[in-house]
Amino acid sequence: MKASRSLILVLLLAALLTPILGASTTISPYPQPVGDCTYLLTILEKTIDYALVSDQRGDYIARVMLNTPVDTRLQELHRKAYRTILDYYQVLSETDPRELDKLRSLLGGVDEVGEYAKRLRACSPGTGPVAVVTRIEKALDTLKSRLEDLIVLYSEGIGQISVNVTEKVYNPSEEVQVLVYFNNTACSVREAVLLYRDIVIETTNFTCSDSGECKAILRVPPASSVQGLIERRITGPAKFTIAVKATCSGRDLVVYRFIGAQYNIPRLTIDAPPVVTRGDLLNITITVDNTMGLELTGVLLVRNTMGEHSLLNITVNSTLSAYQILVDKPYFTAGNNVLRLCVNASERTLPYCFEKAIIVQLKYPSVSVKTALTTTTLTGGIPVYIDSGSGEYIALIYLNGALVSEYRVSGAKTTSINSGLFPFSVFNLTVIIRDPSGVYDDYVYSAVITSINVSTLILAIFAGSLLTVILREHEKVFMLALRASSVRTTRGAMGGVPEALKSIFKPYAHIVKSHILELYYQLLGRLGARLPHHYETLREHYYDVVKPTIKKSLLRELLWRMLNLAEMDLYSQRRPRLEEAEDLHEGVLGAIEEES
Amino acid sequence: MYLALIAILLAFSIVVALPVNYDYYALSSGERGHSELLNANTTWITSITSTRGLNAAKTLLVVARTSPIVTSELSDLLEFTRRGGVVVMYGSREFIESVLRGLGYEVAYQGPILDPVYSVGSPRRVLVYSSLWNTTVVLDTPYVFNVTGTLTSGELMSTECTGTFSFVDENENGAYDVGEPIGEFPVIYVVKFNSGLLVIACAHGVFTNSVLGENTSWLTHLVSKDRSVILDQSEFKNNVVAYFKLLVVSPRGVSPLYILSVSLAVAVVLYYVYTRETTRK
Repeated sequence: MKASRSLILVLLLAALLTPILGASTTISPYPQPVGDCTYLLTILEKTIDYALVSDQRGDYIARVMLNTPVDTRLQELHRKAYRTILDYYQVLSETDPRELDKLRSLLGGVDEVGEYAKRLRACSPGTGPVAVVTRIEKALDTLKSRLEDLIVLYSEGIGQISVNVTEKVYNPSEEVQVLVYFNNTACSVREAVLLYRDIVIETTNFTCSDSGECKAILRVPPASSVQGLIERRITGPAKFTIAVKATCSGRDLVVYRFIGAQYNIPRLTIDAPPVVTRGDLLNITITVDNTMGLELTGVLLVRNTMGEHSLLNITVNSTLSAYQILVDKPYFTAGNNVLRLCVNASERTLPYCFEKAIIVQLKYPSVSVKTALTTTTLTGGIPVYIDSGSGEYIALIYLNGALVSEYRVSGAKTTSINSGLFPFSVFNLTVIIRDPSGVYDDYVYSAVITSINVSTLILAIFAGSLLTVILREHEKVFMLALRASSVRTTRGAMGGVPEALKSIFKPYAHIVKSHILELYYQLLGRLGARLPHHYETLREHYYDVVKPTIKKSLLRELLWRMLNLAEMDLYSQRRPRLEEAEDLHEGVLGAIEEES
Repeated sequence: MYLALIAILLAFSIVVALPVNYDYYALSSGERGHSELLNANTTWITSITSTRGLNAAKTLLVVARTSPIVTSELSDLLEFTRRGGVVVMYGSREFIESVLRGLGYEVAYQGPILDPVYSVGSPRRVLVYSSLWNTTVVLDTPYVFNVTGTLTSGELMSTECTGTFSFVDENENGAYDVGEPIGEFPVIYVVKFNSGLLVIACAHGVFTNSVLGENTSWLTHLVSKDRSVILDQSEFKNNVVAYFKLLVVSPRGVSPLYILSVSLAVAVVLYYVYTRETTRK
């Protein structure tokens, strides 16, 4: 019973698991494309290390990595590199001399592995990968040597001819003697070719002696001929291939030999003071390790924010060479400047550039510029004192960014800059002292100046006071404003602003519109009595002002009559004649003259 | 009064209905949940002591946790394996560390393992080939300990390692840095107790939703001897919401007993409301 229950449980479990439990027992990896360059670099190093010791783990890693997707920018080089490593493992497992071409192709593939390592280094953060790349390059050199040995070995395996080349590290332009001996009389030799990778450097024919020995002389190319081909490798000689082309019994043969050639990087340095002032002479010492006694030609350049400029052509043929350069404006800018010494390739040395950074400081003329921060002058001028010492310079004076004065200055001079008519103003004053000869940099003086123009200030105060006095009484300013506004807004309003002003300066005339009253006011003015206020009637004014002021009774009576006429002119339908009022006016004037 | 009762019932219903995403929770459908495993006729226990009553020889117990295990629980589990049970353990670093220490090992954490090559979909889902079961296991975010010392009980049967391409991300920046160890690292320890097995996987996920699909082959191997799968949920005893859900929800849905209880409660409330309204009239 228990067993049957278990069986049912198992069947049930199996039935439920079946949809989700797959039948396969292995899972194939499907990784994301690998973009971690440091990781790829380390795996590459590991693989090469295994390959060097013929460890089959390297073959396994290479196979897996070959099929591992990586960043699309690296994918092609990635595949080539691991294909090369796999080919190397394949070559190790084969001893067929017919694989000679494959070996040579592999030799070129090793360079691509190095290229891949450099690409990975470029996309790896930090400095750690630098050491990894260096180790990889060394390992690849070893790998290449082994491949070269294999190529030579397989060439020997042909057994038809013997090729004798002194295997050593040659100097550039040195002759390489290639001797060929025949083991088979049906063989003949055609030519000897000097190759760098697959690039033909030189081809030469053999000359054969009666003894059956054939000889060809190849010349290691000078550095100047191969400067574009050979990398600037600090360590190790450049490897050249000598291919001897022969024919044996109608069949073409190629026998390979390898030689090394030592190309050097010229060891040169520039010694110069780190900080220099413009206009000074810069002393430069070029030191070169010239144990080979070569003459190096090149150019000294300066690079800064203005670009790169050639300073002078140089020729170095001794250990120490000294030069003097004027740190002048067209080529040197203020701040960082990089001196760059580039020498051309010579017979033995590759082209090389050395850089040295210097800081160029500005050089100002010895001038003094002074000005008061607040100036109070009668005409509003701002005095600017400039003392140029013994030099002659151009002074450019700017007020609020606008050039207001430009003149030559020599010695001490004070210039007044007109600040305008405003009684009170604030300016940004900038004075630039420029050296017309270009030796010195611009000296710049800046200040914020407050200028008070006394003349216009007084005028403004006077005008203001006058206007205040005029407009003081009767809220005339208000009246003026009211009238000004009504000119535009009130249709049919009497008069405009000019009329309003007229009324302000001639009070009451506008209001009363009486010529007789005007005559009365003239008489009051003549007598020195004040005019009536707006809250006074003419009679109140008469009793309060005129009567107490005028002592003579006749004059008082005449003025009273004049007042009555004016009132009649103002208010009565029976308006008096103007002649009567003028006669009375004349009479009052006569009485005044008599009294005086 | 009856409104309060309805509110309480409603609250409990919402608690039951709403999903929760605790790591290693049976009803969680998140990446680290175990809802997918429930489809494999899995049941759960809410206390390790429950293992005492189980037929160990016919049971595969999955113990996945975030918190360290206590000694008494480990003793129960070891006793369970001695009786022929198979226990698969995985979870947080603290949990696995406590298990290894409980077995007598000295452990030092080295870091998470990433494998950009021998992985599925992400460098964190690392493939591990098991020679013991002749299958490939996918570990979700594995990590490695430097394990020294010897077992105080049981026999170390096998140690399964990651592939050649994995590395320890010691600074945990998610990328390889020069100097970080690269190669094979032990991530699965298989300890034998009589006829039972204790499988300790140093990984955050093995039969979790994120990698269950890839590990079904291994699960088949483990349950091949008529074993039923039981998931340990004792870690959620102290979590009221999670524990309540475990009580009222069975692996095949909401418990009928719970539905009956709720229905009765609703009926009582409705009866009370009806009689009260009738009395008023």
